[in-house]
Amino acid sequence: MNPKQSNFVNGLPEMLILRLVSVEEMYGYQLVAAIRERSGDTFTFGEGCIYPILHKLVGLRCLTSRRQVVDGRPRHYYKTSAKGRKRLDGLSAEWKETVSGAHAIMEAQYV
Amino acid sequence: MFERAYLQQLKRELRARGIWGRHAQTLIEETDDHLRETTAALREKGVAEPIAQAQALQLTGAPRLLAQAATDGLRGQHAIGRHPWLLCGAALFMALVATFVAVVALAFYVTVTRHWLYGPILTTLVTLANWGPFFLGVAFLAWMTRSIPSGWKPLLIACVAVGLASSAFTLRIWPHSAMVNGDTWAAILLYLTLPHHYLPNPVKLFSALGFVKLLLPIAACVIARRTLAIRSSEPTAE
Repeated sequence: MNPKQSNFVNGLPEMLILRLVSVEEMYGYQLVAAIRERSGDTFTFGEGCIYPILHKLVGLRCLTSRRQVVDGRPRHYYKTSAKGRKRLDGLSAEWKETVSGAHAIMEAQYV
Repeated sequence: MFERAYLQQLKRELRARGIWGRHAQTLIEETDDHLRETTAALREKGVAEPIAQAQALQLTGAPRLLAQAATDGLRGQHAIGRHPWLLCGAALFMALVATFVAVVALAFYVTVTRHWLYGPILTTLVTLANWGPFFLGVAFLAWMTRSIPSGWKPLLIACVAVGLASSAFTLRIWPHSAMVNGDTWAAILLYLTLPHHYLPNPVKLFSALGFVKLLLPIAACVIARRTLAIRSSEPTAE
């Protein structure tokens, strides 16, 4: 397993975020709700921890953000950038490779 | 206003980890929005107000964990953030490069320029060359303080290193008469001040100038962080 693959589990939230905001622009709560609903409550985590990941991706220029006042409160919307799409492609390829490897082990017949 | 205490605690946790400015402001705004949205969603499901508020806080996570995740995320973006002790070496390297540039510029001036203001300009340039690398090191440290969340220990050690290094080296034109009459054979000396200047009398290290050179970088870093603290408490215009 190369270092990229060994760090893959840590990159899973990044991949999910990049995927969801590549389809439509979202804000934090909306993103957390989308992850919860679309994964069928598979992923549970401290919801606030999604924001540092979003900020990191903005810092890496993988996401673009804009601030808008909604009901008198500032809200930050995120969208995947061109660089983010490339990163998403890379993470998706790693994901498929990892799942395929894990699947091969789990489904093998052992005597 | 149930979330106020939570957000104040989050702000304190972020400040304790060196996150003061735009990043802190954005995270606090988003957490505030998240708490309100979560509470509203729970209320829609028929959960009573106080229970919905308590659940919203629980779902969002402890402020300490949130601040730690924010710190890790920000540090991960910078090499110096990942290895804070590089700060010292980076500041000294910048000062060294600046010293080299100053020596080359002075050599060019001494060998090429000849006019009636030669002496005064050369004197000014030598002073600038002696102080320039120090101020560049200080500016670099202040900028790092603003950009990267880090503890105070690596920062203070870097400040002391820059202060001591700037006191240790002196740049002079030799012979001194060349400063006035423009002797073509003048040499630029960059010499170690420390052994012959300080070792006979180490008390000189604690002279007024020494204190300025030690305290100025620290003051610059503190001001840089305080400036961010003031900015983060100001309402942002839309």
